[in-house]
Amino acid sequence: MRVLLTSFAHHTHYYGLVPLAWALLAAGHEVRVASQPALTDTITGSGLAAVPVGTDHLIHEYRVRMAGEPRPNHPAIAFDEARSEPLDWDHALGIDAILAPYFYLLANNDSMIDDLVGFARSWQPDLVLWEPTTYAGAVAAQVTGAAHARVLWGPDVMGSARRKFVALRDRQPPEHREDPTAEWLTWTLDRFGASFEEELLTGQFTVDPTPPSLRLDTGLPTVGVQYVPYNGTSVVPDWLAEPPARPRVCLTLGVSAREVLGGDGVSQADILEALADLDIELVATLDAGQRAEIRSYPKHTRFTDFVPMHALLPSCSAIVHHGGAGTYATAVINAVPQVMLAELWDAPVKARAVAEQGAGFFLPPAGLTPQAVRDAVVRILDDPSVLAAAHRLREETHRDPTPAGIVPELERLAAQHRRPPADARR
Amino acid sequence: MAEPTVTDDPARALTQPPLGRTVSAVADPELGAHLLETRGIHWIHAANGDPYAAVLRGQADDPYPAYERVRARGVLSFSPTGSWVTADHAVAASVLCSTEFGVPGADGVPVPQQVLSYGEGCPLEHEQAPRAAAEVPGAWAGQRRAVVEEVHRQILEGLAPDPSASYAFELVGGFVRPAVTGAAAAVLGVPAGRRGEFAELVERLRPLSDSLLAPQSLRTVRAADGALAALTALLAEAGVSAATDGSDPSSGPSAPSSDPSASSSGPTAPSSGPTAPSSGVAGRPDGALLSALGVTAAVQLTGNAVLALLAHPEQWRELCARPGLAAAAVEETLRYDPPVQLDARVARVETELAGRRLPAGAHVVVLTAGTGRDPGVFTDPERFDLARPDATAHLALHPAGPYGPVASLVRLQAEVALRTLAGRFPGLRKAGPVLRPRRAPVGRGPLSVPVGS
Repeated sequence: MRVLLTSFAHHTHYYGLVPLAWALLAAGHEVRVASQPALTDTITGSGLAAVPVGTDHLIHEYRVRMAGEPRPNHPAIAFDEARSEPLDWDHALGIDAILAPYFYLLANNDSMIDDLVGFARSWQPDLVLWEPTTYAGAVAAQVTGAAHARVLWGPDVMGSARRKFVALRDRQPPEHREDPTAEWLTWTLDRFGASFEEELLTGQFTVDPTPPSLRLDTGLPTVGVQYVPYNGTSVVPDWLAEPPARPRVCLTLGVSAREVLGGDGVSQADILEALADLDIELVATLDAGQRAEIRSYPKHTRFTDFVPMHALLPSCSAIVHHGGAGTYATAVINAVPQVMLAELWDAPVKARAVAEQGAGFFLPPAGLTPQAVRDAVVRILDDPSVLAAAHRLREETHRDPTPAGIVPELERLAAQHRRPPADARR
Repeated sequence: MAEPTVTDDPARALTQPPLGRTVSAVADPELGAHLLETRGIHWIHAANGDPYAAVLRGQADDPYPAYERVRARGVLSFSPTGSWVTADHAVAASVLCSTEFGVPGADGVPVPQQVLSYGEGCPLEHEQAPRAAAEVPGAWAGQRRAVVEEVHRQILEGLAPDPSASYAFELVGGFVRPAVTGAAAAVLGVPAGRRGEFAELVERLRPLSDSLLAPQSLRTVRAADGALAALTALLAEAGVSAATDGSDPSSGPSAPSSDPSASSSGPTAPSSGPTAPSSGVAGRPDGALLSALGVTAAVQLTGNAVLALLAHPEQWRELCARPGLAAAAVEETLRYDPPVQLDARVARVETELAGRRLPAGAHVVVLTAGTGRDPGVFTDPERFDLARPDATAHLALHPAGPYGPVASLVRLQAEVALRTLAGRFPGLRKAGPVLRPRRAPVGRGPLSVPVGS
């Protein structure tokens, strides 16, 4: 069959699609990857055929124009699973009222959607697989009649949020209902003579790489898949061939050393200082500029600009990170206990789930102390139950098939959902 | 996480860039995105603690706590939405009466804080010339009262209770809206065969005033824009062109002397009236169109009055005993819970207001509803009181604003509706939850009020 994969132009959002694309290609299917032009080199670098569509998105330009708003850690866009207050309609609506214009519409700009639909009309894919915020893929499928599914890169916060949104919306008097994302897709589909359906927001089915005990209950048809890491092109450094002489701990926070985490003024330099007296081998991803800002650190510390996580983590005893999708999932499949200083998007949701499983610790940046990070690392190194829990999670991931293993199921589902084009369905 | 603070620095405003064209000239994707982006900005500002943005967001049944939060920021404060805001009676009065402030900017072009523009045909986007449409009058003020009374009486008598409902009838949809709409159609001389269409168009225009400050859905905006054109055409075809106060040669800008409500009504208006040009109405039946828009204000005013009275049953009984108090009830409602809650103005020139320097083009929003609760002016402002001696000191439906020319018709409709109701249903009481709209920070009134009798 013909499979069109699409992600808006952001490399880490795209990476989650790559192993499945390879699996489909290796099984003899035709595969194309569509995104805005800015992602073309990243796509070709992953060994796949790129289809540049539309003009580049303006997410960064909008953030500058908006003076940083909506800031990524804004409490008004926190997912229900990451909040302590009960969910009400105003909060659920607020998430969409902010994310629709300042994320979804920008990531799926009109010219990108137009070109993607144009390409799909010409190439006639049987199946469109889309990154979970790249609704352009669902639009192209709805117009052309292709089957379509989301391929997740983390727990399904979007599917869960939509389910809760719809339940709350339908409890409001009709005069109070509002659905920004559906409104946008309605006028968008109207351009192509197609109409909105709820499944455009969550896919006809969902490919979920999250181990079942960390998965969110969305009630959606889901195909579980083993997570296979792809973190971009990488070269394995030769020092990784040497087994570590003492417990290896990875520290990677995705922020500069001086940048504070949350509102309480803890910097990466503070954390390095708090770990300084531990007998560990620390691998810290800091570039030369960041290194100049730090004061003290463990005696055996290796600073590195970049190291592929799937090459590093098998040798690690613990990792301290901010909850990024690839880092978290790669730690899970390698049974590495995690300390997650998680704040953005789905990161607190993942961190809470990992902590509930006993396979790590969730330290919200708000209220963080360097001592708490140190305590969590020490606990992981001293308490075998944490490692045991991490191993249980890894075992669980092996119960789902690999990307290659779900190809027959994708073939079956594509045939089941494939329809005539929208103009022939009227 | 540190509590975010609301900026009072105009340089740090975050305002959606203007569309630059009237809505009919903008395609769906651009207009839709503009509306979503603007609502998103309001939502962000509200979440960051700006009370005026919370008002614009329009998610609360009761906006008055937000007005008090605006008042607490000072007599004139800057909202990060880009607007200057006041709930202070004196500052508001000086804005509404000043020739330095207009409804559009000095060049007639909307400022960015106005979400969108429907263009020349939208009477709410410019001042009115109250006398210019006098050539083909509708019913004169002296006859209007009789016409309105007759229509309201007929609607009330024709009320068919819903046997399946747990309450006697729904006040707004059952009586107030059809009575006020029907009376307006009769006053304007809309032919009987087109009154259904008239009523439908007026209802589609209900969010018009809100849509200028608070972004509505794309569908709502398109419907309002279409209704504006259709209603203008309907009124022109029907030969209707005036029902403003100016249509009555014997009346001035405040309530006419033949109107019994005159003794207790009439805001403290500047006798000079608005300074809008007297031309510009030819080919644009503003007066009639505005009268149609006044229907929404009258429905909302009546709804707010009934809710206030039913919340104070002794005052409802008082009104039933003395129907002449209806006019006083209308004035007290205009102070306590007016149908037009916000009045936006633009500085035509650089000017000073409350000790702050405002550049030409500055957008100043008067929280008219908040000024009616100004404790420096009104004693015990949270109390609804028919006997309040200074109720008419409110700034609602200000003579110099867009609704000025139809203010007395709006008052008359509400007064007659209250009298009619009180005469027929002295035992009126709320019999279920009141439904209020969302995204309606300007036009305030219940959508439905189940009542028993």
